[in-house]
Amino acid sequence: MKIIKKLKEFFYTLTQNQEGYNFTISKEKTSESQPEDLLKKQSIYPSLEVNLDYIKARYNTLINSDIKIREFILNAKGKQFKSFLIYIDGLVDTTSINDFILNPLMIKNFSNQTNEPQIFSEAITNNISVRKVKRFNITDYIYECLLPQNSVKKISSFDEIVQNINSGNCALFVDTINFAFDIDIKKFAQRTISEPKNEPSVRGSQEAFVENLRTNTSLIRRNINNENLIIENIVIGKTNKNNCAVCYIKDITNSSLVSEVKYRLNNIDVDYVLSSSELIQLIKDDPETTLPEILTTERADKAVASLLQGRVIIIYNGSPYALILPVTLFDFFTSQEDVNLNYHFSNLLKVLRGIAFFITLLLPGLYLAVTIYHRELLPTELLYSIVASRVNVPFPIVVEIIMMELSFELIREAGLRVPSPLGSTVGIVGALVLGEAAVSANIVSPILIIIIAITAISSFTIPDFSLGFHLRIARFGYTLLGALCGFLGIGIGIFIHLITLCSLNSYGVPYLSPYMPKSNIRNNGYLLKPVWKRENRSDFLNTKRTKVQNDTSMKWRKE
Amino acid sequence: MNNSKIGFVESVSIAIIVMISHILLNLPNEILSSTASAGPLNVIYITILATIIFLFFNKLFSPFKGKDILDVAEFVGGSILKKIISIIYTLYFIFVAGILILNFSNTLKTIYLPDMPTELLCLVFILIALIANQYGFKNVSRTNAIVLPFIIVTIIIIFFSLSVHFVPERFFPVLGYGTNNTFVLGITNIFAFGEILLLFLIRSNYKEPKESKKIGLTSIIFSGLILFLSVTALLLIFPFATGGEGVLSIYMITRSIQFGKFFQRVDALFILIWVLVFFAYLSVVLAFAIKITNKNTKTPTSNIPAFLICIGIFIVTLIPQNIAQIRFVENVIYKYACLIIVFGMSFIILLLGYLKKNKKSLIEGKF
Repeated sequence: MKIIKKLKEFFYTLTQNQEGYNFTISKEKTSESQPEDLLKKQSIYPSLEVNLDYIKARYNTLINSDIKIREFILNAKGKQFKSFLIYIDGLVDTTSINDFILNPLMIKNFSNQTNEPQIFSEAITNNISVRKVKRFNITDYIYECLLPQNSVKKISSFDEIVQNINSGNCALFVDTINFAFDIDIKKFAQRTISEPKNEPSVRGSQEAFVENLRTNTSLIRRNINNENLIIENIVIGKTNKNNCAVCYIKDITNSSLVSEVKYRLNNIDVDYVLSSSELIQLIKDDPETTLPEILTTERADKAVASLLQGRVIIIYNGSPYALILPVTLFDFFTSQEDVNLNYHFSNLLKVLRGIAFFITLLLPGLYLAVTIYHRELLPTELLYSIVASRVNVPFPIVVEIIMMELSFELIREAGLRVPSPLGSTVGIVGALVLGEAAVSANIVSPILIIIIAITAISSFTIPDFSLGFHLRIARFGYTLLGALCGFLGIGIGIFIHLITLCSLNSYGVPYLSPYMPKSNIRNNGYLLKPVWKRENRSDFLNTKRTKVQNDTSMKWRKE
Repeated sequence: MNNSKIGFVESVSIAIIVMISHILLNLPNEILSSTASAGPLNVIYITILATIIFLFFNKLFSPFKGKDILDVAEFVGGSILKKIISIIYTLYFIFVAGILILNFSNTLKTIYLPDMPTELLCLVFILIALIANQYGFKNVSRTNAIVLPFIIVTIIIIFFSLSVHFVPERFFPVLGYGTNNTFVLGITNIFAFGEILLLFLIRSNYKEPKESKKIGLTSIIFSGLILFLSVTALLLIFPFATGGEGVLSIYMITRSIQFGKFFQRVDALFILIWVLVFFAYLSVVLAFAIKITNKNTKTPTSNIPAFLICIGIFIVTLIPQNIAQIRFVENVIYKYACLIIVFGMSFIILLLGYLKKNKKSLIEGKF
C-alpha cells in the first residue's frame, strides 16, 4: 500500500512540476464591484491635479497608447491657469486642436494680456459716462473668447465627458474650474458614400449608407427638406456606449409608434451591441421567429421613402444599414427600384416575385409529393420522362433532393465566404459538380437538377436577404413534409405557416396587413398604383396625416 | 380568449368554412338522395328558410347587444342553465368534429395513403388544430379568412370546368321525388346551415356588434350559393341514383376535370386545398369548444381544456367501426342533433330570453 501511495505522490509531483502554457479565463467578477464604477458617478473636481490623476487612472494612460493628454498653461487676461487637454489620437482633427484650441488658449497677444474689464456698452449723457462692464469670469471668458469652435459644452460629470471623449471629442480641464469644456472636433478615416452593393438600382439614387452615424443622418436630412424630421440619439450598451439615431417625421408618424421604438431601445440592458443586425434581434416583436419583422436597407432613398410614409428609421452607429419599422410581409417583396419604374413594369416584377416566393418555398416539396404520392397529377409523357431519368439513380427521391439541396447550400455558403477572386472558382466547381458530374455518375436525375436550379434562381429574386433565409429553412420543412405524406404534409406546412404569419406583429402592425386583418387597401396593397393615384399613406400605420396628395395631383390636366 | 375581437371578413369566413367542410364530405349527396333532381331547388328553398330563421333569431337577439347565446342562457336560467347548455354545445362540437375528421381521414386513406392508419391521420388533424389553437382564436379566424378565397375559387373552377360534361336533362323532373319530399320532408336539409350556431356564439367577439345581421346574412347567402353550385354540379354530372353512392362526392366529380391533354387528373390539387379547409374547420371547432369551456369554467388558460377536448374528439373518431357506421352517424345522428340543438334548443333559449327581457323592461317601465 505504501508503495502505491508513494507512486501516486511521485506521479502527482511529476505532473505538478510540468511547465506549460495553461491559460484559463479568470472567473473573477472584476467589472461588477470595482471602485471605478463608483467613481463613474463622480463630478469633476476644482483641482486640476485630482482631475488629471482621475483621468489617467480611468484611461489607463500608462498602457493606453492612443490616449493623448496635453498639459499646458492657459493665458487669459494676463492670468495663467494650469490646464490639460485630453483626446484620443485618430478620432480627432489634430490641425483643429493646434490652430483653434491650443493656439488661442496659449498665445499671449495684447488683448489677452490686459486685465481691463470687458465693456458691454457705454452711454454718455451730460458728460457723464455710463459703462456697462462685465466682471471678469474665467469660465465665461474661455467659453466666449478663447474657444473658436462651433460646438463647445460645459460638462460637470466625468461619466459624460468620458463618453464624449470616446466618441471623438476632446476635453479641456482648467485648474479651479469644476467642469470641463467638451469640444467637438471629430475627424476620423471613414468609408466614403458609395453605391449600394446589395440593393442595386438602375434608375434610383446611387447613395448608400456608410458606417458613420452622422454621415447617414445627413443623407436622410439632405433628402427630407422639412424641419419636422426628428433625429433623436439613444445610447445603447453599458460597456460599449454606442449611439443609435431614431428618425421620424413628427407631424406624420404615429406618436405611440415612436414611443414604443424609444421605449424598446431605452430598455436594452446589454454590455454591447455590435451591429444593427444584433439590435434587430433585441427589439423585434417575436425573437424566436425566423421571419424578419424589421426591414433593413442600405439605400438612403428607401429609408427616406419609409420616413415619408410614416415609418420610423433606426440608424446604428457602425452599421451601414438602416432599420425600417413597422413592416408587413409584403414590404419584403418591394424593391426601391419599383417606384422608379412605370407602375406596369413594377407590378409585373412584383407578380414575378410573388410567384418566385412560392416556388422557393414549395417546389422541392411539391415535386416530392407529386412523384411519390400523386403521380396521376402528372401527364403521362412527363411521368415517363421522370421515371426514365431516374432509372439509374440508386437513391430514393427524397434522399436525392436533400442531397442536392445541401450541396447547393454548401456552394452558396462557400461562395460567400471565400475571397472574391475565388468566388467564380467555387461557382464553376459547383456548377460542374451539380450539373455534369452528379448526373453522369447517376447520383441524381437531370430533372432534379432543373427543380433545384429553378428553386435557387427563384430564391434570388426575393429582394430581402433575411426573408430568403426564412424561405431556405422553411423549404427543408416542406420537403420533409411532402416526402412524409404528400399533399397532406404540404397542407400541414401551409396551415402552420399561415397561422404563424397571422400571429406575427411588427410594432403593433399585423404582419399580413393590409390583407389580414383587412384594412383599407387604397394604395397600400401588394401591387403599386400609378404615382398620381397614390393618395393615401398606409392605413395600418395610423399616421397623423393620412393624405399624401389630393385626388387631383396633376392640376395642369384640368386646364 | 381575451382580445379576440374579429372583423366582418373573419366572422363570415368562419361560418362559410364550416359549411364548406360539410359540402366537401357528403352534404350534396345527402341532399340529392332525399330530393333527387329537385336538389338545387331544395337548396334555394332551405337557403331562404335559413335566412328567415336567422332574421327571426336575430330579432330575438336584439335586446342582448354584444352578448352570445351562453349569456342569454345565463340570463334565462342562471349559471346552472348556462353550464348545461355549455356542456351540450361542447359535446356537440366534439361529436361533429370527430365524425367529420374521421370521414375525411378515411377518404384520404382510401385515395392516397393506404398504408397510413386512419387513427394516425385523425391524430395528425387533431394535433394540428391543437397547435393552431395555441395561437389564439383571433389568429385561427384570420387563417380561415385566408383559406376561404382559395376554396371558393376551387369550387367555382370545379363548377365551370365540369360545365362541358353537364347533362341539363338531369334537372328534370324539376320537383324530383315530388313537392312533399322537396318542400316538406326536405325542410330537414336545413341542418346544412348548422353554422348559424357559430354565429350565435361569436356575437360577443364581433368588433362591430352592429354588423351581426350583415355577417349572418352574408354567411348564409354565400354558403347557400356554394351549396347550390356543388349540388348542381353533382346532379348534372352523375345521375342522382348513382351519385348517392360515391364516397366524397365532390372529389368524385373532380376526377372528370381535364385541362386539355396535358392535365387529365387534377383532383390531387383539390385535395391540397381541402386539407387546408379541414385544418381550418377543426381549428375553428376546437376554438369554439375551448371558448365555451373557458367561459363556463372561467379558466384563464386554454391549454388544459384544449387537451381534454382534443382527447374527446379523438375518442369520437375511434367509435365508428366501419364506413357504414360513419355514414349513419353523419347522415342521421348528426342531422337530427343539429336540428335539435341549433334550431330547437337555441330557439327556445332565445325565445325565453327575449320574453324575459321584454317582461323585465315592461315591469321596469311601469315602475
